[in-house]
Amino acid sequence: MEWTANNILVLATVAIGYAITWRLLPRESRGPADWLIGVGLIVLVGCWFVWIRPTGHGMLDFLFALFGLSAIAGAGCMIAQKNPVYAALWFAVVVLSSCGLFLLQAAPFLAAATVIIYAGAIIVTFLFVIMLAQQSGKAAYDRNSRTPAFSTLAGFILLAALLSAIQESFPASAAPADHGGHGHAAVVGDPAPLAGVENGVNPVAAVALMSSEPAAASKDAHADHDHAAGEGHDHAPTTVPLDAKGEHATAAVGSVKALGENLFGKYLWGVEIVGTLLTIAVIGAICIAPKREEMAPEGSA
Amino acid sequence: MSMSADVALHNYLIVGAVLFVLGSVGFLTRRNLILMLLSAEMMLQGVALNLVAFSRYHQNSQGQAFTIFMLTIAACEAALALALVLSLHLRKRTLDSEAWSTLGEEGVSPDVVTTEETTEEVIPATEAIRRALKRPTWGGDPYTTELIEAAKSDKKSLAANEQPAQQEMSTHA
Repeated sequence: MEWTANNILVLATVAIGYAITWRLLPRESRGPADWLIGVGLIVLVGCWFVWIRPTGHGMLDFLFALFGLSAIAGAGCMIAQKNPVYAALWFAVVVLSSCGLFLLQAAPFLAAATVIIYAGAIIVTFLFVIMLAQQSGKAAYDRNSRTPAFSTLAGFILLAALLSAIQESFPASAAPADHGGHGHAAVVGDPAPLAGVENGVNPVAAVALMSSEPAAASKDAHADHDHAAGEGHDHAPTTVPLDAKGEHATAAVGSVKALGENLFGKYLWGVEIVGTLLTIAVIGAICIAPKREEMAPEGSA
Repeated sequence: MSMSADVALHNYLIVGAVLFVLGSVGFLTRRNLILMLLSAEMMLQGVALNLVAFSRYHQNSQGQAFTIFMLTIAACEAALALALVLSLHLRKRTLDSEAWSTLGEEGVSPDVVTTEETTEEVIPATEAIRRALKRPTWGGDPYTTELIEAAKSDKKSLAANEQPAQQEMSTHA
């Protein structure tokens, strides 16, 4: 039972998520307690604010919450939709939110590429095929799910494992409650209740706090963070010196130049092989796809 | 690495994990072949988020290069999978994955109950008018008004039920 007490946060989040997802999956009969689903969704949004640690930059947190919540909400709506066209459109919402998250991680080229390829090509192709092959009216295979209870349980057991692994890998090293009188904590904005919860459930962090060595390390982290917050940078400086021509000598991470240097320098073989794979896939799709005479008798699609 | 980069990585890993798990749940529960493919694409999106987060954490472009490769593979997979789905659809005229469940062992039944396929009924127009007149109108929507006008002009087909229909029209109009 000590394991349960230590991981109560993971178990509670996963249990609520399981209940809500299982409730929302398509079924023939309509459940009576829709307001319970609403309450559960509000609790899940609360779980977001418990799990997601604030970085200390308000705008960054707000944008991350906006894109992250819309990605998760879009994913939930996509798997709960009875109409496959709507599900494809919710998937477009997921892809766009994911592109927003890419932008927040300084990957502008990747964000643009994902929008163009995923939302622009893959989803459109999916919609075409749905229109071609979809039965008119809501089909029985869209209204029902396949063993929803056990499938959702399998997925959420995986989520519990992932969440507990992430939680253990990132112990809350700064604990203002244990360093009484450390005045910088208030400035940095580390939420004391959150650290308390994490330390309460995380045995690794609790053990780490017993010894004095992490105390010194976290004091250094505090000072570092203050210094960094004062400067406005998160990590190693991204300002790169310009060379004689006025261009960046070593390009910033995520720019087209850095990606190009990586793709065509280090991963040149990979690029060539993937190009060949694309050609093979196109040839294969043309061979596999039904001939026009076979498709035509289906009607006005 | 400073603490804020740790925190950012932690947050992105959680979102990536949730996206991956929701995609896997969708793949396991949906019966429509195309929706199963879309859920698989969502799993790839979660993994892409992880890769980009680690790329930022390590200040490296390797994660983003891998994401570009993964995007390309996803495009290949989508093209081939949709071609296969179309071929399967031609065989059985349905997108139901359970239609192919009989490819399994002999004597093992599929673990899902297939209900009757109910599509929209095709009824004669007079029957539709009769049913619309019997339904109560909530504030006179134009469709039902049209039906009532059509019923008024089409006296020959409503000859059998003309008197009750006239009374109903007077209460509804």
